[in-house]
Amino acid sequence: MSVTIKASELLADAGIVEDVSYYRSFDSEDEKAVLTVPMKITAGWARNDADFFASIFVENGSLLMQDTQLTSREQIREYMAAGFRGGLKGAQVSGGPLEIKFLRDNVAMVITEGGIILAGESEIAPERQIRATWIIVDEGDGVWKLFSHQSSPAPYKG
Amino acid sequence: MSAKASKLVAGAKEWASYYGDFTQGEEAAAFTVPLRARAMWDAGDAEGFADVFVENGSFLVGDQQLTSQSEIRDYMKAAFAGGLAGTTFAQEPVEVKLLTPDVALVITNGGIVAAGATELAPGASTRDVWITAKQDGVWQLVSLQTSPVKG
Repeated sequence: MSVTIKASELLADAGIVEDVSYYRSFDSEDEKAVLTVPMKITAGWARNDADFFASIFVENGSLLMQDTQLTSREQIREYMAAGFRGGLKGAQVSGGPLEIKFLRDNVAMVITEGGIILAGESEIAPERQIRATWIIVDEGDGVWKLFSHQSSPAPYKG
Repeated sequence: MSAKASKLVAGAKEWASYYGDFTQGEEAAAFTVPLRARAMWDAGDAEGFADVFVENGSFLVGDQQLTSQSEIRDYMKAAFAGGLAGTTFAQEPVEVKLLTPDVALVITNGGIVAAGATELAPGASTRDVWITAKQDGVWQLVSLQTSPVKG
């Protein structure tokens, strides 16, 4: 028997205030629960918190950062910790969903647009605008987690 | 063995090598999705390429998000008649992960090999993520996105 937890609760548990504008047109309870994952990732960037960022992934989660394919929560944590100490210090991300598809009850694919706003920048520079594919899963406890994130350069339409 | 038979065997052996480490069970079955897409691309077959996708399959090409089999077919038909004519699809397996018994994430290194060339040009390398799912017993492509990498 699977557990269902509302998006607002999932966000509150992570100390995040729900920004309903993030959902755009994807506002069913199921879609909102899935979208808590990109919202948490956004919060992880805003906090520059690598531990929290990595905790959003499943144990063997996959993240493509530039040329580096990170394939575990631990690799992701180390990569982001170094990033937040270095070139990504003070960086944030912004964006929103374009498409959500439930592949199974507990597996969703989300496509978002967005990008990285480096410290001192006020918007996403054209060369940092991306399209991302997210695979988001519920392992049975109602807390949706990130299985895979991949981004490709593509213009942000907003 | 006749020349035709030995050519078939050589072809089968060559394709068998494309599975890399993923030669067993459902992982190998899921990996037939990128292999089928590659075969259709190499044949310049837009119809066959689109058929690898599920009906509402998603494919990011350049700035365009194609979101159905028919959009993918139309786009590739024009591309194979134009800028992609004679190109082939490079592909090496990186990872196959089953999310459920019938949903898998496949990651490959790839890129588009120019017509007449035998290997990728510098700067043409991509990391490709294939979201695959089994429908009516057949592994199909739900989403394909490629990301440029330095290689």
